[in-house]
Amino acid sequence: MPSDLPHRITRAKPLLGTLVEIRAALSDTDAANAAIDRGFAAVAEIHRLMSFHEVTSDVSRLNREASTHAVDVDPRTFEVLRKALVFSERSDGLFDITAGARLVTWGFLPKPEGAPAPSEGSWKDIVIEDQNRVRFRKPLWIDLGGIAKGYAVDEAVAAMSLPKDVQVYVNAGGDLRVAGPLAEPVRLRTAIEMDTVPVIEIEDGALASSSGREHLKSFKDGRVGPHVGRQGISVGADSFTSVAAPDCLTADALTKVVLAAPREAEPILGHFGAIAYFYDPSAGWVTLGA
Amino acid sequence: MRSKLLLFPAAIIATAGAVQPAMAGAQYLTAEQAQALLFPKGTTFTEDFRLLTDKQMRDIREFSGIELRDRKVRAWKASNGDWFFVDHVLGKDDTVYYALALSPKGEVKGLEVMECWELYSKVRLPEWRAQFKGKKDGELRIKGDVESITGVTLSSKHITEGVIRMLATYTLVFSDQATTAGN
Repeated sequence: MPSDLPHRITRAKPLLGTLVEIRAALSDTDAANAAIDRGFAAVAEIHRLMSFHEVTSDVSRLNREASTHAVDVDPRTFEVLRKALVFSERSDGLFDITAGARLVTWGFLPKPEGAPAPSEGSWKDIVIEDQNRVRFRKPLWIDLGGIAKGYAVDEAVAAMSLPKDVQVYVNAGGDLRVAGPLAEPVRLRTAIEMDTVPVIEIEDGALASSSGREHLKSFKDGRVGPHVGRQGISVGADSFTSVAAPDCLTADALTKVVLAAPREAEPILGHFGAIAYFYDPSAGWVTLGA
Repeated sequence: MRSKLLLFPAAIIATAGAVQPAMAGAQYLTAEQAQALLFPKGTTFTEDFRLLTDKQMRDIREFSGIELRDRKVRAWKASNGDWFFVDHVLGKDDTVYYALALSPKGEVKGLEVMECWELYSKVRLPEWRAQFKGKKDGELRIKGDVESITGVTLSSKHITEGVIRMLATYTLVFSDQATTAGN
């Protein structure tokens, strides 16, 4: 443990389908624990609102009802949806939350209960009706799994509301944010054989990673990973990327874009002030953007 | 936001003994610290460890649908009437120790992860790391271990299953209902 840091408290809870770790470097133990509690509560809130699995979540309600009538959602769900559409537009559909249907077909997500069967649709069929009100033009199964974890991390850091000089760290299964004066070295778990050990140092920013490698499944005659590219094909099965960005929602969303099309991603990364560290077995490590 | 990718040659790391290829992980809380977080100040605890009988193990397995490995249940009765348990679960790549607080009715009042061990090498950043200093844009400011990990996400499904198993254990072995049934 670094000796030049003040007393640090780190705790972890199972949330968002993974282990969420929150750390605050504060000598006042009670204040640190109270801040960490606020962080976990914020993450639990996002889980409750945006889970694909929970039948009462906004996402499940949208998948069941939004193709028949406009659905009122929590302002936080609305913000994530609105941002998801910005990433879809910027990436010309490389990022698309309607990939949920494909992920169900491939067995990465369970079939949503009581939701009408999805038709061939895309992010363009999601209509923002009004503030906090959303409608689908046709039955869709949206999944916020590619963006909500990052958002939850941002919300946790905001909810902790600690002064700028306090080192704060929130990691939701690899989507993480570091705030405060110090850089954090982060080991990359790539699940790919390499002859070097990759570590990213991140200071006052967010880092998210994606790889299709570890979670490959057999589907029909081939293998598929949990990332969907254009024309609904599985992408990124042999590559890995970490994206550093000012906030974790952006980092999380952009990993999917980089994995789907690293070259196309370059100007998009630049637009959002993000940098991608991309690995594929033939080219090795490539830095993209900013 | 500032970021930098560092590639440590695996050979150098191996020579420097910087990679611990065995279990690596994080210790978040001791049992006492978890108790302090999950219960009001001043709560006292009475140890009430139990060894499950074969029949109890079968019943818990049947009731919860979750596999059981450990006969020993680490339980404490709290002075406010609640219960405190320490349990562990094995995932595909990790082992997690966690603390669980239950009400007398068997409702989950709180959960804290105490330790998480991964079958994964931990990288230590010792003196030899100085050679990377100032190579690109400034020096590395952190000494010590790389504790943070990004990349392939670990699932928490095994923790959820552990909680379901502990709830069944509580109902069948510890609750008033279990006691009056002469278990």
